[in-house]
Amino acid sequence: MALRRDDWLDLARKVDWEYTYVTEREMFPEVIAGEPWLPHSAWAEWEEAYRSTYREYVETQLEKDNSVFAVRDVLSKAKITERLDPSWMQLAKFHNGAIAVGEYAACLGELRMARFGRDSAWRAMANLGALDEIRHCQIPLLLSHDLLKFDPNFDWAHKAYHTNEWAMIAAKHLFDDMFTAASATDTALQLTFVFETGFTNLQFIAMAAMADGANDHVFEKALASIQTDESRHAQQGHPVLRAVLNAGGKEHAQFLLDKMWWRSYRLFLALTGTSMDYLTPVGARKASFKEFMVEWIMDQFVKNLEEFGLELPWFWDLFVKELDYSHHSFQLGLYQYRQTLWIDEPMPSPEDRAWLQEKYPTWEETFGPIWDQIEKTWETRGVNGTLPYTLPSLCNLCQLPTAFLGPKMLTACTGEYEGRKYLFCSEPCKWIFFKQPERFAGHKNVIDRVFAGECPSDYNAVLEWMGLESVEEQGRDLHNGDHPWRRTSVAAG
Amino acid sequence: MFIHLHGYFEGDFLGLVCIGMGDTKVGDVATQLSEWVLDLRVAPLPGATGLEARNETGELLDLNATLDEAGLQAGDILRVKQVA
Repeated sequence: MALRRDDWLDLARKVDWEYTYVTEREMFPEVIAGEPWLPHSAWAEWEEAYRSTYREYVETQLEKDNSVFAVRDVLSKAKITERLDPSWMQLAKFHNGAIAVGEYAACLGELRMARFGRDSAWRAMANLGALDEIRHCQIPLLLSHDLLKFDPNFDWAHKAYHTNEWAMIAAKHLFDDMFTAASATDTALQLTFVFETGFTNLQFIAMAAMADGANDHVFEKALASIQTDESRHAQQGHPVLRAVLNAGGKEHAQFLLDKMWWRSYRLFLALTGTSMDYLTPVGARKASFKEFMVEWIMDQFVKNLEEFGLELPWFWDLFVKELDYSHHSFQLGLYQYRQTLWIDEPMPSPEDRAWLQEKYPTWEETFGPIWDQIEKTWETRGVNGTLPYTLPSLCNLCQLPTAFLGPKMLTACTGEYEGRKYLFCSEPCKWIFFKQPERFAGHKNVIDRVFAGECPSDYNAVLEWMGLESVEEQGRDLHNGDHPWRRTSVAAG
Repeated sequence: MFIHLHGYFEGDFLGLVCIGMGDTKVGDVATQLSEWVLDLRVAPLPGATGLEARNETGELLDLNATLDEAGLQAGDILRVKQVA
């Protein structure tokens, strides 16, 4: 009689043994396994809900892949892509460039946990997580390859991560901190507990809903499929956090969670906030970035913290306030510095502005005058009048431009370390830096590299240094300055 | 020696890198910043008579002082606004 699954599963997953040729500490050095270092007995109860076997994993993944490929095949014949909104195409290009190879990097984090995770059930789960991340790299690369015939810049799905493009430097800096240069324990807390349990819901589920609204069903299917993997391997975070807290590691855990909440938020406001509220066609917007953040991310994160007896991050009030402003300021930066991107950026139309005002009641008062001024410059001076004269100041922690929250709301600040002054976009970034200055001080942002002679200072040469080697590759105004609503107003006038 | 400052112009949304020498006047850097910003993103204040510059802590700076005299060093924040 065949054994039932539950009769043999623990035997297959819980395969820890006692070492005779090396000590446990040598087998799992603290520097890479993580702190607090605990004997295996402290990890022996490690468990998660999915308890997948390799066989089940392969069967399920095959079904998921077949499902994505079926939609891809059907829709390629129906020529749906040709009819997608041009703004939405920028979103897909932005997402795939920023995410695809980053997922491959996340494979390193999973593999670190697969080797140095302190219980075999954890290591088994992380092995499957590593396979997930390879899949999450390959799917957007494949779909982007399909889109090359519509827009050659879809090759940035592969290229972006290998360039000095400023947004990608910011993404790589975050991912290095989160998992590439983190111990197995820290990776579990930062990547799986904060980033994957919370934020990827936004990037994959909420974005999938918007893809549905935009009729991009291939993208929708791919995002939703990826999120089912994320939901599974994100389960690693909870039991690791439980073990760390049981061993008295609350202070360390709280720091990592606070740090990664803020850092993840910074990247998501730049990538996802702007994509949701500006690149998604108005009719496809299921909710605003702020609404998604509040309903999908914050509530769950707060519950998770309460479950473990942890505190809200000290900067919570600032974070909540930022939801009304930060990504809107950031979008102005993306538009103005569009040549430094591999996507085209839209000017918000009257329809966009009405929607933004409805969702963010201070939007028109705060950001309307600046967009008005840019529109006026288009009228009077054309494209050259709307491009920047100089480089923006970048944060020495998150690597992103230091933006005002709004008029008279300046959060930028500086701090000195070993005789050098560092710039930060906000107090939380400064706090993170000074909690681990030896970890962050040696990294030069793009502006530091200009002054160190490691990057050209001429604006066009900087673009080439970033990998944007030709004018065709650089981002433009989505309408090339021929904004339909301005045309109408001129004709009417 | 070059001194790079991070200029923030009230009404704008972004910090910009400004460059001067130790003997460059604070007012010249403030003017440069205002030209970059007013030209592009911020409407000139009706009746504006000039500019006001402050350091990170909010201390009002003499526009005729040099960067050295104003105590501004590489990497410092310079806040500028229009005044009527």
